[in-house]
Amino acid sequence: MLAVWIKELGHFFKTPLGYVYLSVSLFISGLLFTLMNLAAMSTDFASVLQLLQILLIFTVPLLTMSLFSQERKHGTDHLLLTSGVSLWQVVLGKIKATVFLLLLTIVAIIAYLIVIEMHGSVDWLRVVSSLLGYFLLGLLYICIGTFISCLTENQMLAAICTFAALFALWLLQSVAEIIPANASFGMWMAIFSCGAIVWFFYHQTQDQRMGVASALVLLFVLGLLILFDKDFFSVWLGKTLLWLSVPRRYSSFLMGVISWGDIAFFLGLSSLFAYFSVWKLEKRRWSED
Amino acid sequence: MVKVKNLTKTYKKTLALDEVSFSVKKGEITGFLGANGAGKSTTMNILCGYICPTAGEVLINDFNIMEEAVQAQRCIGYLPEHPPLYDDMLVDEYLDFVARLKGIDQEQANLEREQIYVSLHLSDIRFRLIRNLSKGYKQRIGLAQALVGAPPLLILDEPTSGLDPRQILEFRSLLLGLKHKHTIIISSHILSEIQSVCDRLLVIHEGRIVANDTPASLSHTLQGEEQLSLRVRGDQESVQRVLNKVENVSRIEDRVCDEEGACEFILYSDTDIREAVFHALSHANMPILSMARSHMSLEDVFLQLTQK
Repeated sequence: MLAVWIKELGHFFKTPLGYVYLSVSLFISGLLFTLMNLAAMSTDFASVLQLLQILLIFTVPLLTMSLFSQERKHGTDHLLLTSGVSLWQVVLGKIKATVFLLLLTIVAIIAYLIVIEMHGSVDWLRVVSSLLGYFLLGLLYICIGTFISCLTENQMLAAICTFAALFALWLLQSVAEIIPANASFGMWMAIFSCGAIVWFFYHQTQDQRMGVASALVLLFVLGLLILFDKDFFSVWLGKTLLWLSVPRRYSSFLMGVISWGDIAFFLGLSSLFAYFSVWKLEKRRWSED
Repeated sequence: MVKVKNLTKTYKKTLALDEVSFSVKKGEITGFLGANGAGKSTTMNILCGYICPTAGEVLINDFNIMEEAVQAQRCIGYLPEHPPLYDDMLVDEYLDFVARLKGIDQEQANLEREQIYVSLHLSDIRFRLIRNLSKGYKQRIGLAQALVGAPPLLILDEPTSGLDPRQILEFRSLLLGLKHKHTIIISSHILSEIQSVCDRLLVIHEGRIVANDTPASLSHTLQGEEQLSLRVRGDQESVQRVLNKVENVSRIEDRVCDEEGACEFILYSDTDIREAVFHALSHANMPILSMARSHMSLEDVFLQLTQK
């Protein structure tokens, strides 16, 4: 893992990528700090971090787009996958290198806080909570971007898809608020979702019996819900989207609330996408395409 | 060193490898011959664990490439068709990265790297950017990364692809230098290169092994009869009368001869008749101007095997 980490970090700083990312991040964060703290004479740094989450949506895709797509395109994945290194080591090494860049921007942000402390008073507990949330958010976005980079050889496509995925994740809360809370719509969405799950399961296993078995299980569960809890269909979609909403959980950190549930959510989802990356690389080995 | 049993690989409905079985002994250089799309690269990719077979087993130094991938891969140095080089790295930096990736101790890695620089004549370019190097040097660096960790088995996929004749000769002499320390499997389209370095040939055609033998044995087996080309001073009828009396000659074909006062024949037999022909013509006072035992060239062997 160390070898991959060092190599990836070297790549970020031998190409303009690392410098552009740091420059853009520091410029935007510096601008926001100037406008929202210095000019506004405010010690509230959480509002700056609230806006900086949008910056992550634009900058993380640029960092992660080449992580695996470039390796595959140039054939260097041959070296990584045949050197006796586990796929987990390769994936985690690359994620670590990208997270290191994120940490550099967080270190720079601490400099702004020191300036605020020199001229005012910083609520350090709230700041620590906010920075933790910012770090966890960045980690999740990086893991999502890494997975998407495993799906294609084309860097631009990886960047665009990652941006779209992060943007969609960011909008989940807004979508949850406008979804009709009616049982009929909820039921059709449940059937559609079950169909998508069955199709995905069959596509991955290529086993008709497994596909049919999973369809039957899901139909059984739906049937039980229709019989015993019709109200479920009115609320399940909205609640699910809210539960998945990243900005909502991030806002908790900004308010100074460190919840184990939120930490587990970010770490769990990050681990899931890291696992998906390993799974995709392993699947490619067995692929008949 | 390498045991492959019933290796099969399908791509959707295409059978890329059809129950391929072979073994490679320690210290051998085995050449892997085949037309484009025959299955050479697929086999090599499976041998080094880059892709998985649909069925079959691969043992590298008794480690199963699927179940004990890390141990098996540590025994292999792999040079794919396009060397896996990072253009933004220096040569020394790249080889250091490969050593770390393979988990080699830093001190040992430094020592090995020096030896590799000397043996592959890379000392002058160790601090140059890979992007700026020629194709020949890049291929050598590709070989260098395969040698890191001193793996007992080297798998080289088309290692001379894109090189000019001089570079091919240099590469060939590098390979011969590695022969005593490594078992090598090399695939190539350049038959003369295979012939000059390989102890054994595997010919693959449409996903199947169609031949597995030494180049000389293959030539002999496929050719069947011995052929002896002869040019003799004398008139054709007299010479042919003498040759008809030589034992074990099954057939004589006469050829047009461009030299005045001489005649040319091709003799066919099941055994080596050179001595018998020499004694017969010498007794008849007929000087032999040239005598050559012909054999099938590797190109002929390859064409015959892949036309079946």
